[in-house]
Amino acid sequence: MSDILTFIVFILLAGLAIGSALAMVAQRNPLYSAISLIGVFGALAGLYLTLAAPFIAAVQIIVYAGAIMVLVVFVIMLLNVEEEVRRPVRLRYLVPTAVLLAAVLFAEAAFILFYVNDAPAPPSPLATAEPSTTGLTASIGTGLFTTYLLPFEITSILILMALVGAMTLARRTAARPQDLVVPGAQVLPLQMVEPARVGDDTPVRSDTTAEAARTLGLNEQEQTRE
Amino acid sequence: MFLLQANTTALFSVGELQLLAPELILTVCACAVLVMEVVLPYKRGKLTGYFSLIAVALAGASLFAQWYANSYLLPLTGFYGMVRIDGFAIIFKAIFLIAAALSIAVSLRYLDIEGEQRGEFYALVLFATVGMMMLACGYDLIALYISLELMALTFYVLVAFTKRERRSNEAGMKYFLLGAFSSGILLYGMSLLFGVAGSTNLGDIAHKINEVLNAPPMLEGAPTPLRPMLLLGMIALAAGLFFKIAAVPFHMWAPDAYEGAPTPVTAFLSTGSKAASFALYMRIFIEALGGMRADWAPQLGLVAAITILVGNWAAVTQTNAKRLLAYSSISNAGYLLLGLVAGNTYGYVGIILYLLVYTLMNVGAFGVIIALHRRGIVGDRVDDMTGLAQKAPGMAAMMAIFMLSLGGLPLTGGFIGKYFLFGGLLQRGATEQKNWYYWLAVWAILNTVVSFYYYLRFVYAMYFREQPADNRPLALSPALNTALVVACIGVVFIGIYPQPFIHAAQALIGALAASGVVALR
Amino acid sequence: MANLLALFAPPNVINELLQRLSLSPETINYVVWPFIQIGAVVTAIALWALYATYMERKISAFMQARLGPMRVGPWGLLQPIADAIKLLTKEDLRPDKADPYIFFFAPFISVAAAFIVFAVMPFGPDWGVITDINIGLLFVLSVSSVGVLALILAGWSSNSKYALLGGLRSSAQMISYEVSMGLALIGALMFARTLSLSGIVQAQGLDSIWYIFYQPLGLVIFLVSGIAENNRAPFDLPEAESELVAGFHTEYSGMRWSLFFMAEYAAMIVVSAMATTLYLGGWYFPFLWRIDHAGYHSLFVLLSLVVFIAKMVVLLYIYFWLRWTFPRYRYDQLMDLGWKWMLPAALLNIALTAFAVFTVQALDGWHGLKTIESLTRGVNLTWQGKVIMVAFGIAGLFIAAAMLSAINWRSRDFNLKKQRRQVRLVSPPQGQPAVAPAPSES
Repeated sequence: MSDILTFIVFILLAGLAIGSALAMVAQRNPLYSAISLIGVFGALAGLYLTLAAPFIAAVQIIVYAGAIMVLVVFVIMLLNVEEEVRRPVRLRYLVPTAVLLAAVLFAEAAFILFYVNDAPAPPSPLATAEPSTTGLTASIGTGLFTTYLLPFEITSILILMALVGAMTLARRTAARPQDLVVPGAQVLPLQMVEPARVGDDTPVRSDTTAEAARTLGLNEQEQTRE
Repeated sequence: MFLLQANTTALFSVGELQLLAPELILTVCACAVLVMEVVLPYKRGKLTGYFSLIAVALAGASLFAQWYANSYLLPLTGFYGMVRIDGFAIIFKAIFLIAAALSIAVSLRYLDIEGEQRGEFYALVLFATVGMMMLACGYDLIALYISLELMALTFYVLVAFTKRERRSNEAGMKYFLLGAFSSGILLYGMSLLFGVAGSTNLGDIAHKINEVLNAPPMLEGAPTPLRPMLLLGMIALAAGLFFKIAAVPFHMWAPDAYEGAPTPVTAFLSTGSKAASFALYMRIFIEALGGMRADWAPQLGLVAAITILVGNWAAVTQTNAKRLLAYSSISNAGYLLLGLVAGNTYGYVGIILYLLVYTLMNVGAFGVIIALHRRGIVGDRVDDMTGLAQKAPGMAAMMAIFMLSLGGLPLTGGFIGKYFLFGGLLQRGATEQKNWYYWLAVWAILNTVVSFYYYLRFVYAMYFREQPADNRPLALSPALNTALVVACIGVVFIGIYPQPFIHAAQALIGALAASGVVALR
Repeated sequence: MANLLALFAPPNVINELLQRLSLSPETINYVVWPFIQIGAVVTAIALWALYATYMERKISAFMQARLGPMRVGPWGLLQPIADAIKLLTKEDLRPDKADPYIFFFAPFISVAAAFIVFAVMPFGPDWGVITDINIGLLFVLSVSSVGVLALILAGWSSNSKYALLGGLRSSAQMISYEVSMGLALIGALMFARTLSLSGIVQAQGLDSIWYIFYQPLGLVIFLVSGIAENNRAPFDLPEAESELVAGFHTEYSGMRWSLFFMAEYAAMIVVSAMATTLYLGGWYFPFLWRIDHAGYHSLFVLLSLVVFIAKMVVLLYIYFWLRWTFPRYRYDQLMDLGWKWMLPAALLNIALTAFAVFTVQALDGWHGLKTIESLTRGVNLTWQGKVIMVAFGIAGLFIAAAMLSAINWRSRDFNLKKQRRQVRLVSPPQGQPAVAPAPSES
């Protein structure tokens, strides 16, 4: 009874995941694709739940559906991505080739799965041992701080590096020395501040507005005028 | 007394930290560089560069101390089997540190000219070096993959570092997209491997694979049940790694990324990243998949043959020096794969030596290109070398040495490396009584001859053309000059007197070869 | 007396009724009861959303020395009902260029995300909670993080610039504050040692202390972030009337608008209930357990529910209080507060709490000092341990204040005087103005 129920739930969730994934690829509207992707993540979280890994399921939702997809949707809206226009395919032979290769890969995978299925099943750990604690929050925490301590710490270096890298690539201030930079997110193009000095390459770096004004030769009176 | 409760179990013994001393030093220094970038005024930006050089030197010193103090204890393992410090790891870490130091030294002036003298650059280079070093000593698929990503992500950023340069942006984007894709394939292979072995530890995987391959078939003539899955995993792993080393079916990113990236990054990417990927290749294919040698050796041999062909012939037509060197780097990946195909001590020593020499000569060659880069002059075409012999004879001579060494002329380091690579192949052919090893060696040698054509184009441009490309002085700096001279001396020294290096490589690689033999049993 | 108390035993009555209908105990426990509970909770929340408007209008009126709604019913008590009828019967407009599907679904996502959370809220012991799952806290966080999507989608699908800007603002704001909100909870979790919300309440009961005493800093961060996460004043930038009309729901009307409205008020309850659960001891009240021991279990559960709701209402009152006494932040100030004040404070809170727990554990057995009672279900401390921990908690407030002022000592975001004086750096271009000024009549 419960086996059948588990199977039905699995089929439903797997179907949702695959269907959403297909919809994501097939959609022309990027926002619809993003929403389909959220469906995939949700279905995956459900599958994790059926595998008795509630922590992973919750984290899947928080990180992917909650944080990453919100950012993706955010970017789609911010860039105002239009519906993708159907362009003429330049490389006509690519589509049949891709289909052929995909079929080959699929056949290969099916062949392998067939053989693996024929292999004698390993003794199920569930049948003999106590209920597994894998996937529970405590066991994941223990794992992170013992066996996987080192990968965990390398990951933290990775994230620090990604932060630095993202900031390096995204920061606009240091890229153009001819811009006036006022701390606190204000970047004023030089030609706006002082049209006479356009073309002068001396970098203007200042820590305060007053300093910037002095560097640019604006007098105090002008600066404090209300 | 401050007694801890029983529930605060010891996570790891503090002594294990010394296994990672070089990496820890680099990480701390990289964070310090980030702080320095904020604190120091823009004009003093170069100080961070010199500081990172000191950091690399410190890491090198600690690495040496680690080897010196523990040489009879190797291999050491720690962190629940995640880390394995053996001769292989130490020698590769040394190569990464050399590559990092030379790249930082050549980049000091370059960043000034580009107006991008920012501390983040050095911090990122140090982070990438940490990733590479963890790749060399990681002994677990998870640790290896995360280290690989640490290295790769850093390079995506570094390649796009000069934001005002359109080519740099494009290169970063291309490299990122293809790199992310290949990481996916690699991860797929790893997951299949994990599925078969039930463990991510390389040693456990090796045991399990031997078990699977030596299991008696259930029916007469039927293949071993799990073997196809292993094969698919192996192929996916190989494909992902082919991308990282820029071997042929997956090499298309290399010319674009190398050309667009800031030249010091290209130098570091073509040496450090390649060496790290080879370290990963050797770890996985020799230690974990050693039992499947019969399956992967022909595959790698075929890819190596195609890579050598395509790399060399495509380089012939290039006019851009960085692009040309990119194709040369592709062909060199092919030569290095030969050492893996050979799979004996000769081959491994060849890989180590050739990677060392390659690091020196490639960073040197890119260093000369950097010297030609001045404000307003890109200087990365082969024609920009024209008349360099008259303007800067020393620089031209060093470039000529690097080029001849890349080609593999005797008395240069490149020759020694290639000698061992090809020799290992011949030895393997003699042991296994298979002809294709000989044919592969012959093929490689023939293509090496082709490579001389385009390497000599540089020499021709520098020495035999009259008109200098331009009259403005070269962009030299003490750090750049020192780096070039060190690289040049290294290349020549290894070429003339390679014995100490061969002995060191043999001694250090012994552990790896032994475990490979265990897996090969 | 005993007969009177028997009246407070509705579950038994219902159980008997259900058993008469020949339903199996499993069906009753896993199907019928949850439905009853869910129905009760949904009805209560919907009613609350109605009467919260009344409460809000009354409170605002009293703060401004007015009377508020007085016409419909006694003291205007039926005003919300009238409003509801108005909204239900109003025409449901959809802008012509709006995305039909997303525009249709966004309010439902919003209200569903707000309501699903109540499935794990421990309103009381025993039948006072619909279901208790071992990742309850994460469940709440994950579902409410999905709720952000509804606002963005609503803003985007309306195809209106005000709605779009409102949606963008709300998503940026909610992402920013979600981080510090989640991090603020970790301090309390270090004491509770479980993610189950009922488990957290029980841990506080066993330790017989509310975590607000251990975690005053955590509560402050959580409440501020929670208010910002709810887009309530003074953080109601996404629906700032003066600039964005009504933010992401500008184009919505009628029933669907009221769904957003309901979701907002439900989300307020979620944050208050979470704060109550984590920091105010949930449904625990001193000496209430004696009723249970005396044998009046159902009365105990009912009184616990009342305690929980009372604590929650106090927190909700803070919402209204803040709304009618604080001016709205500027957008850069809002982001500044999130990333430069709340996030460092939350991180500091984690470090401090970890240090405090470590110290208390280390001090146990030092010179005969006994600080720890047991560690089996949450951290149970002796009174010495509690004193130390509370001292750490109060010290944390000052340390956080010192650290935040050290980080932000050069920040100009809240110094309006300085901003007025210094931001005007641009000198207007000389010559003819692009638009001729209107001729002055005088």
